[in-house]
Amino acid sequence: MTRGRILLVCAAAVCVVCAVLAALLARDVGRWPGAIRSGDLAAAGSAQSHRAVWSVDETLPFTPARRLLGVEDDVAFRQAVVLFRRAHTPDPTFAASPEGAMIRIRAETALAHTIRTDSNHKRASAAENMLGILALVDAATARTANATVDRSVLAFQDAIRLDPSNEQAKQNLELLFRQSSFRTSVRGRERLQRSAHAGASASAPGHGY
Amino acid sequence: MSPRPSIPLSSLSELRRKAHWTLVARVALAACLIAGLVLAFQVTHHSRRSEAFLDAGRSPVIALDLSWSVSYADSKLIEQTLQDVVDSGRRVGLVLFSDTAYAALPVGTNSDALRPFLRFFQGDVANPWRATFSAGTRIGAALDLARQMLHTSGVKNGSVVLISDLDDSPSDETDLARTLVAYQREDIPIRMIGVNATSQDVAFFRDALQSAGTVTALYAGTGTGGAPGTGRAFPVLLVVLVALIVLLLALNEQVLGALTWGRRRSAA
Repeated sequence: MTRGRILLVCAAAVCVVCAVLAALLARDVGRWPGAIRSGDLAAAGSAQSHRAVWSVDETLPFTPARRLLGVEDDVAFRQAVVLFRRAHTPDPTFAASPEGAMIRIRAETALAHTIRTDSNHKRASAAENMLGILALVDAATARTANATVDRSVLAFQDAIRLDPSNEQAKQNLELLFRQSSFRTSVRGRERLQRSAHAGASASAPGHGY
Repeated sequence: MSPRPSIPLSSLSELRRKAHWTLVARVALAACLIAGLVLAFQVTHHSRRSEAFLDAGRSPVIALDLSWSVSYADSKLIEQTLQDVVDSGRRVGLVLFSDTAYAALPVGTNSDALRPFLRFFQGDVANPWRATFSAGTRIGAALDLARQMLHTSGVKNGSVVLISDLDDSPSDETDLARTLVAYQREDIPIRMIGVNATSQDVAFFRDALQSAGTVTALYAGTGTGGAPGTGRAFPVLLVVLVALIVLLLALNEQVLGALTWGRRRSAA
């Protein structure tokens, strides 16, 4: 076999390997939309939402399809929302329990991770809003006397800064300012002294809700 | 031993240039191989040492748990871990904590300054914090102080190594949540070394930290491990280096191997 022929055989072998890898990658990529949909459906159900998963057992190592599609932030946001739903329950006994506190810590760090890494400002704003709500629950259930709602105020304000059309964050901020508890916070006292407008004032002037 | 068969050449000078380039290629390949081997050794060597929890290129603050829940068996593990930090020769800060936290060494102190602390965890000398300082465990307070120290010293690429049994006080929940959120927001990595920590505590902090850090469980007598997920990540760099070395060896054999010849096969 001549040297040229050997090179051709080697090149053909490399091409075959590349073709197989490309086919496997295409298969992995094609499975992701379905995985996201089924995860969303599972998360939408109130009972089994914590069992929702958005993952594909990819054939190729090091999850190249996941990286190629850039679904990291989409999945992280969805997981954070599921944790938020678990942590924010109407049951005050659960909220005050150690288990409730632990789930809240997990949810808060997951939301903070989303806020830092998600390039989608609307989603980061929604995460800030949820973080503000959980911080409020933290303050309400704190075992220490000096717990304030400052964290919530800052989170709602950041949510509005990230997405000025986030009505929920504005309403939450307004509601928080109206609560009597805000008198104990530094921000609340500042606001009282300045008699400034509350929730909507975080928007650009002339754009309230 | 019979000499290797060779063809006597009458015009050696004509091949001098090629012989020169062959020598250059041989030396370059040998250098690459040695560099690959040294790098592979470094990779495996560092993964065994304190570099596993001291991030390269970052200024770490060590937060050391001195609460009542830390037992004698724990203190032996703490001593070993601190010894690793001392041996690393890095510049570190030190926070000692229980119910409250205080800065024992500022950020940027040579790790040799930790050496005097080692004797208190060897069991021979009485632990001076036991009588007055040791109480409950407030990890949130320790992490908060470590973060403040990094801010105060103007360190942009800091990290925190927390050595504790991870048995956090229930009253610390709010502070812990606030602090972990701050770490996530500022992207400060936390390396938690759980000494004889329960699997529940390890699992909880692993869930809570997520991408912000790692939790390594250490158990007396068995060393690292125990809890699921504490194993090291797949050594990609090492595999790549080994593959590179194999490739270079193959290249050496293919391009620079001795010339061989055989009898010409007659056409069928």
